[in-house]
Formats: sequence, structure tokens, C-alpha cells
Amino acid sequence: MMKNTLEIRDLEVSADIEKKKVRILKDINLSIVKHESVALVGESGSGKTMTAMSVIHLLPKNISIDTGEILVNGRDILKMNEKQLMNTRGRITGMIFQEPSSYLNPLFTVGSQIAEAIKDNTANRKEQTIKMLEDVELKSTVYYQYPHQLSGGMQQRVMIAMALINHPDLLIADEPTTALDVTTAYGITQLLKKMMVKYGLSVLFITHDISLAVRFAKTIGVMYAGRLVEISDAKKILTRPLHPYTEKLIDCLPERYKPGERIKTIEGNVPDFKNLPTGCPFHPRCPYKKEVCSVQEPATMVKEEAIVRCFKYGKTTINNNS
Amino acid sequence: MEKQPLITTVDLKKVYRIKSDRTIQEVIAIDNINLKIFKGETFGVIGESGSGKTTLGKTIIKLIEPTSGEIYFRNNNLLALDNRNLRNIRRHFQIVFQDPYKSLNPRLSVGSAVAESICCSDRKRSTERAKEILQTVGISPKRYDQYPHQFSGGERQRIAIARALSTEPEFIVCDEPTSNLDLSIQAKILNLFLDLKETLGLTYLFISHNLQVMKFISDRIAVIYRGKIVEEGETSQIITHPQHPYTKTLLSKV
Repeated sequence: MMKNTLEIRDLEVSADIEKKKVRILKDINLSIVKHESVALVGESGSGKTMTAMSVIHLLPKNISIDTGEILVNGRDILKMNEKQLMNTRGRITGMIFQEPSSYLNPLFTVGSQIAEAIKDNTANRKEQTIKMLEDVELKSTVYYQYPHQLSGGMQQRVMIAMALINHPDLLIADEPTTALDVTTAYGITQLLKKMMVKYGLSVLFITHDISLAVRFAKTIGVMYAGRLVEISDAKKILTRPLHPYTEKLIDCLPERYKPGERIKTIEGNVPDFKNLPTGCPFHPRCPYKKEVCSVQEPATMVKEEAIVRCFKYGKTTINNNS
Repeated sequence: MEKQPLITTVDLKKVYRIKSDRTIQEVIAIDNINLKIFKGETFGVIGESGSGKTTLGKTIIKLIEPTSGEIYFRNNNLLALDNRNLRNIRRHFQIVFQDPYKSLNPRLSVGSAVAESICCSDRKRSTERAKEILQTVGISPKRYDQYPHQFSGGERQRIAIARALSTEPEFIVCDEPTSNLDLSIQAKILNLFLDLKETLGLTYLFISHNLQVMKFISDRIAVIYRGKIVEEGETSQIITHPQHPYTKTLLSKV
């Protein structure tokens, strides 16, 4: 039996920017165990969304997958043709996004939009949709309403209903609560947790909010400049971060300081993909940098049941020819 | 802290009239707001979207005309001033907006954006001064002639702050100034706000929906819910002993 719902192996993705090929994801290895959740955190431009988009194979035209395997339920989606992909989307992977209103058609009732997504032609669409609406804690009368009549939180619930209507095994949630208020966001994450149990879902949760990630997911993957620099248990990452970037990022959380104190910030800025520093992309900002860091890029290594990519923990390297 | 408040509002109220079909609907954006903001403090306003936070911030500096009520800056009643006097007094307050991509003019170099409102007839001196201010917020004066698109989100917010500082204000309304920024950049901007407050003796009205940021930056907090302030007090007091049920739910969800 396949244990992992999602397994990404050695994924490399590049983009054509101004007629130049730029590597935007490098050496991504990530797996999600069945019924569990993994959160990807990182700052804008770190490659979180691109990783997610690779998983459903919905990348912009100028972005291409160079190498790697993406196994969803054991099947490599990179080897599928368009028809097989269409079958995978919805049935095996569902996705929700940050801004629900821009993914709903304003001219149709939400009920008809959910019903339209049902792939089983023999199903009683309306009945199934109303049942799904009740599952996401909306009234069945929402079926007849239009997107503009619903609040942001309700719209996101509709998106969840739509994503889950074909009972997928994997849900990708790309910043699903970023546009929502604190209390509404809380409701959405609670709902996602309930749905994980009810439908046996695995979730790939993408967020820039590390404290939210820790509360939601079992495992946290930290991304920096297109690399997964650390994969750790959510319970440990805040108290025992391994990668220097994770450590510095956690130091930026205002709740860790008393009033009047200054936040410890990270020197410098996030590098541009077009001219990444040599070696470890974090080394110019890293307080622990050694000579080797600017020459070679560290490979992933296992440390205290976590995976980290830093020379602090050993000397394995990967080829650095890109 | 001085006894006399810098900003006082009395029963401040703003009603928006929204035309829908043939009827006119009245929406009370803020109602019965009585605030006292003292010199040198950071006064936080926290609430959800649609609660009236932004309307409150803009009304206090009279960017929005209130429906009723009074606003005092020291002893000057802002609503009683004529345009000329209002303009004179306005240089004492400024605003920094949420989205630094929308709040800067893309066709104005950042240097001129800052120099624009420096009250000085001598062009050379205002340029000098603008460079100084850019330096204060951590933007190299060498980049004076560059345009907003050449800067990152965090740098743009610094420029927006520099522009706010150009009139040498005493009071700055900060309307969710870090909500669009990444965590590491938010940290730098929050530090900048604290540094400026100390060196220039500024007073802030800091609007945010982020409780962690609020807890960190504010001396006092007002919780706004559906246009009304439901709770107000010292930050530590509100965080540890919330009284109003809404504040309690807000705290429990974080």
C-alpha cells in the first residue's frame, strides 16, 4: 500500500525571464504521509506557490519542470498526458486559493458552480452539492446565492466545497486565510482540519505566516530562494529551529519581544533569482557562515529527525553548476 | 507623558450614505468615538475589516469629513478652522498607508516625492533635506532620482514613511503599514517606527488587525467593533484581562 499521498523527488523548475533560463526551484524533496498535513512557509518569491503549482501541473507558460518526479498516490503526474492530468485534478488533487472571490464566476449561483465541477456523470448533482455545502457548514440555501452575496469566509467555504466535491486525496491550500479576518481565518482552518478527518484528506498548506503553519500542520517545510532549507516537526520548529534562516525568521516574530525592544532583523534582502549568490543562497545574510558556504551549496542532511540544508551540520555537498 | 492630550475626539461619528436602487441606505462607519491620544505614545486601533478602523484614522486627520462630533489637535478644533488655517495645521499630521505600491506616484522620483512637501522656497535646500530624510529611514540618498518601481515593497514603505516625515509632523496615522510586507521586512519597518518615535518624539495612531504587531508596538489599544470602541486601555491590561466578549474571542483565536 502506498503510504504517501504526495511525494516530490528532486524537483527542479526553471523560468524564462528576459530570454534567460533561471532556476527557480532546486532540489525539492518533500512527501506528505496519508491523512497528514505539511505546511510550506517562506517569504514572497521563495517558491512556495510554484511548488504547489507544480503538483497540479498548472504552471505559467514561461515556467517549465526540468527534472524530478511528482508522485500523487504513487503515480507520476509529470508523465501524464493532458487527459490523464484532467482526470487527476479534482479527483485526486483539489486546490483552494488566497482570493476566493476571483475564482468564482459572478454570473452564476454558487450551487451551479459547485455542481458543474462534479465529475461523476451519474450523480445527482444538486443533492450532492447541497450535502457538500452542509459539510462545509453553510446553509443549503447558499446553493441559490451568487458569490457577491457571500462574505469572504463563506466564499472560501464554497471554494473548499468545490475542491472537495470529487473527494480528492490531496488538497493544496495556497494562502487560504491570508485575505480573511482573524476570526474568519480561524473558522476556515478549523474546517480544513475537520475535513481532513472526514474525507481522509492530506493537505499541502502554503502560508507566509509561520505561527499559523505551526498551529495547522504536522510538518513544516521552510523555503528560501527556491530551496527547501528545512523540514521539521511543527512542534519543534519554533523552539528548536535548525537552519539559520528559520532561526532568524522566527526571531522576526513581534510576539517574541517585550514592548520597547527592537526586533532582531535579518541583514540584507532576499536575493533575486537572476543573480543568486554562489554556494548557499543564504550565506551573505547568515551569522554562522563559514568559508565553504560561499563556494559550495550544502545538500540536505538528516538531523534530529528533521531535514536541513546547512553546513552547520556536516559537510555533504551537491553539485553547484546552475 | 503630558497631561494635555495631543488629539482629542468628542462623539466622533461618520455616516456613509449608500445609494442602492431608489433607496438611500445609511451605514454608520464610526459612532460615538471619544479618544484622547497623548504626545509620545503609540495608540493602537485593532479591529476586523469593515469595523471602521481606517475611517477612524482618516477622520481624525480630517481626510474624511465627519458627520458629527469634534476633533481637537491640542486646543485647535479642526472642524472649526477655515481652509487656510487647516492647511497650516495639517503639516503636523501625516498618514502612512497599507499598500506602498498604491501610495507612491509611479511617475515621480522618490526624491521629489519626499521633497515635494518640504516647506522651503530654496530648491537646493529642500533637496538636501529630502536626502537627509531618506537617510533617516534607511534609503541611500544616492537613490534620490530613482522611481518607485525600482524599489522593493519594504523600501517603498520606507519611502512612504520618509514622505510622511517631510513636513516634520508630530502625529502620524499608520494604517496597516506592515500588513503587505513579509515577516522579515515587517520586523525592520516596526523597528524603524520605534526608532523614529524615539528620535523625533512622534505620536502614532497605529491601525492593525494583527494582534501580535499591536501587542509589540502599542502603548495603549482601542478595540473597535462595528464602528464602536468596545474596549480601551493599556496594552498589557487588554491582553491579559480582556473585558469585552469581542476582545475575548479575538484573543482566543490567535
